[in-house]
Amino acid sequence: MDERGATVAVDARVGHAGTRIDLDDVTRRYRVGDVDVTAIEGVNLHVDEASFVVILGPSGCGKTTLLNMIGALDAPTSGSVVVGGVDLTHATQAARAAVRRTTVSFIFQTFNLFPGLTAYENVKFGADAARRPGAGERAAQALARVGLGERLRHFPHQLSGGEQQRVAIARALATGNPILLADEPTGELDFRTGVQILEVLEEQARAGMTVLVVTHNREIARVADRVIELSSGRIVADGPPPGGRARIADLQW
Amino acid sequence: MVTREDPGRPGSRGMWLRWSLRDLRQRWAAVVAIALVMAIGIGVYAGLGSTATWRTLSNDASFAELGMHDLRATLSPGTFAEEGSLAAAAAGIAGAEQITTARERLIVDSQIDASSPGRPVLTAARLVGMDMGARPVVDGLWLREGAMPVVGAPVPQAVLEGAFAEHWGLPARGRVTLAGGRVIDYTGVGAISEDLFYEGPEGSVFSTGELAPVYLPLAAAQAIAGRPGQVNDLVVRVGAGADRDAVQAELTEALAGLGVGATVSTREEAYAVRVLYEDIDNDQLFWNALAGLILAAAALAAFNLISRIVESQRREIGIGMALGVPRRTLALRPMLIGLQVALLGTLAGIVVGVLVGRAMLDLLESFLPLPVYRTPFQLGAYGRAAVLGLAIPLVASAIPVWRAVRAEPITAIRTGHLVARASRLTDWTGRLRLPGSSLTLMPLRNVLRTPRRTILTAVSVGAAITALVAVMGMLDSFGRTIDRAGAELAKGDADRVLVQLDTFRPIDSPAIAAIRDAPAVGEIDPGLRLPATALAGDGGEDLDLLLGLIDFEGAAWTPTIVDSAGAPGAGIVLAAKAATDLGVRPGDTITVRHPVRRDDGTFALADSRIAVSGVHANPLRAFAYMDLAQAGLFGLAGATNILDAYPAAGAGPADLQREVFTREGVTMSQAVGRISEGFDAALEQFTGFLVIAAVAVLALALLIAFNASRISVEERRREHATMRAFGIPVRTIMGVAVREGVLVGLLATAVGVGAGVVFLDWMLDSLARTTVPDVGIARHVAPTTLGIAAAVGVVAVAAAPLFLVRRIRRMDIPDTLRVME
Repeated sequence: MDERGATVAVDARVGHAGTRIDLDDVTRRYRVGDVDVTAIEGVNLHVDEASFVVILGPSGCGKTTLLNMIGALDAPTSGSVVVGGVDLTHATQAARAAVRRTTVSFIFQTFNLFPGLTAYENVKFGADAARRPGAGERAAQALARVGLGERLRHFPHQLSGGEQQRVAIARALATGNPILLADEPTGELDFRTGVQILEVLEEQARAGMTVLVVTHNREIARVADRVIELSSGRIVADGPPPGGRARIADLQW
Repeated sequence: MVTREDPGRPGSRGMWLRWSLRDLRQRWAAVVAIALVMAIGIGVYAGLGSTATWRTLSNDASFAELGMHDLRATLSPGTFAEEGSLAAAAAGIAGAEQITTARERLIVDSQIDASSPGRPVLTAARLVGMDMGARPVVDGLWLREGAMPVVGAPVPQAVLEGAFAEHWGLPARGRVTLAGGRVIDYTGVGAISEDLFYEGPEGSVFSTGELAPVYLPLAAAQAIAGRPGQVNDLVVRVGAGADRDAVQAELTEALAGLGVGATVSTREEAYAVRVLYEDIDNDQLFWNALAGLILAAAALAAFNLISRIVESQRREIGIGMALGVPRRTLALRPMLIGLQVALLGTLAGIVVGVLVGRAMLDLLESFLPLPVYRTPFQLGAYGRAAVLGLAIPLVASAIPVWRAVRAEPITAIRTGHLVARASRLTDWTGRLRLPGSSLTLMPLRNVLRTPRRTILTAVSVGAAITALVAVMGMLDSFGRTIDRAGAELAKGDADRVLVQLDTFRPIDSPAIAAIRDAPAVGEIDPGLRLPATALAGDGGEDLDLLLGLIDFEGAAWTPTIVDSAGAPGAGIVLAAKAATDLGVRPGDTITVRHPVRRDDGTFALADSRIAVSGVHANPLRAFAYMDLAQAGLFGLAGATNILDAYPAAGAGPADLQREVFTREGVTMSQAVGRISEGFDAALEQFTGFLVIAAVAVLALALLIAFNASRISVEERRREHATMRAFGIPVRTIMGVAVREGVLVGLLATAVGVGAGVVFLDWMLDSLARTTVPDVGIARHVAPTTLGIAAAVGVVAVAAAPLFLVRRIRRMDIPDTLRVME
């Protein structure tokens, strides 16, 4: 990846309040057919500084549910969720939308790029959504940041999977929002491309963002500042990676 | 191995059927919507297709019910015979045993005053004295409402022709005054078979309302006409298998032997028979064209909508292929969607067809009342419609299914970003640097990304708009034609009253002077109105003309000349339609066959070469004008038979009409301001039917527009979820969807209006030439029609997403984003 020297302007609120995440005794239950399913139970989680956090666990352990609540896409059944200083526990739809617009940004496993927009326009969408001034410039910078400065006018179908995910990251970066939420960002990608994506994400954490990555891949957790392990909706481990933080270059899967 | 006995096994028919039923449960709204689209298409097709047979059967039954004559002997004008002599002559012919019934009648011209306060009704009348109680019936009286007249009543009793009464809003019973101040009571309204459709008096523009047939007992008619014991008409029925031609010839000879000039005509020569049967085929051409267009629009829409549903099963078909399920088995499930649409659409189409047929029948009965309406279920028309209704959705399904099962399994089962495809056009448009935010660009980019889908949607909505524009444009064109004709006749002075005289009278005669001197009359312009024929030559069709001779220099009203060669009064001024049909232009010369009065007062026909001096603005082909100074050509120099009369100061046209009606020689007076009502009545049949077609097409267009747009929004749900994940408000997302709808709608409207105008031109150029040959209908698409087309094409397509706002608002964003495509 080239052009990493370029920086993307991050929202002025990045800092203690802007990146802070507080979950207290959070429980989330769903009703599936006739059955009540507890996806998350009694979770307490606090992220108070910019860092690279990995939420680890097997399928169905509740990690995506947790990410959705942090991302203001879902609300807890009980407990409280405060993100970037905004209490989302009983927030209205509009208030949640405002948090998604200005505080968090998403990277999805299946990218979810807009197929009708070019790479540049997809990224610009992020800046437009967050109502950032100079959206075009931010988009160009973000694409350059992820090494796609030469592919501005390409549509998603003209890009490889890795390139599409990088466009998705650039879109998230262009929002300028301080919290980056990534749900299995390497799930659709081969090892080499996945590593490139992790490098970009790690770099954002170093640049002052809070990056939360949800994954079932233990290898990825090795490069995190902090690993939160979930099992059956509960946090079973929370701390630095066992054996210390590894370099991305050392990863294997 | 697939067996019928094991429906639970993969690949068994039972499983596919159950799966298909689950599809139906999941997509019932879409299936019902497509089925309704088809239902309207095939319903209109079946409904419109039924009317031709209904009309033929009803005409047959009605003429049979009233005992329509097989032969009619009419004595020369002004000739009468002793009562009984005509029947005796018929009984005396060699083939008399072939005659089953013969009845004598007395038919004389008169005038009628059926005015009510504030509404003058002063027109020509035709008294028909007949044997009303006779059995078996020949040209019997159909009493629509009221009672039969009582023979010998102190005040003579009669039945008034129903269409006339309806035109003037007269009650079913009443008292009217005939020429000579003879007051009669009419006890009901009805018609004889010959008057089920009749011509107006010579020189009149339209029949309805300008001539009042009045049916009286023979003795009463004889008394009123001052012809006691006299008759001038004989109607005859012959038995089955009779040699009618021989009877006709013998009857003609027998009547000549009586010393009276008589014409013996056949039933098929009767105006009512000719028009009522000829119209059926001509009208059906219109309805077939319209039904075909509507059906095509429905078929196209069904193809679009079913394609989109099948496309959404692409991955599941791919999985089936990957699992080794035969393609024909995989095709079963999506084909069953087509079958569901076909069955539902056909059933609903039959209901729609019955409703359309019912509406058509109501209209037929109102504008063309017949004593008997035979409207059996038209198995043939509905059978054809059902076959089309079943075939179209199946074909519409087969094409996308064929495409889907031909795909490589590995391609079909791809998910996520690997599915993304686009056209070369999309790749090319990527180079375009478009201004605006990404949200502003998104609608245009989406439309360009999938041009096939965009075009298919636009074309299917456009097809409905084509039908809408064609149908409503036809109404507009008729309406504009009526307005143009009315405006031309009323030009300058809507109070102008046309006063028809009973015969040609010297302009300086006392009768004309008496009219001129009537207190309510301010001014009169004498003129002539004559029947004439423009001979086409070279095997072309001769045109009947209503030739008006007016003083081009001095008359207050003269036609508007739109094209001329020299002074208009120097030759003949034709309607543009007549000039076109004759293939002539101002400056050319045509041959006109016209009456010439001989010295003994009788008329002969002569052919004259007359230069076409101009073209006037009236769309009615028959209207032609020459200068009154050329009256000598007709042997009518110094004579008049029609007057343009203008009310005196302080008087209105009604006052003028009432006053001149009592003057000697006046048979009819009509304010030109009311003539447009006649135009309306003349075109009522078409406009009425077109309104039915327009309602069906509007419903079709809205349904297609809404469904196409709804499916588009459905296909964008993942993008909407992504937008919501980025905090984009629902209203902004709806704005994007609406703008995308506007773009597709604009394209659909442009396609629809363009094709609609082309189709309208074709209908007017080819079909209207046959169906309404006497009127020059110029294409006109009113702003209202364009507005409705735009409303359907743009507003309905654009607004459809708004109906889905609740779904987007309540969308489970994580779930939608997780959905694999």
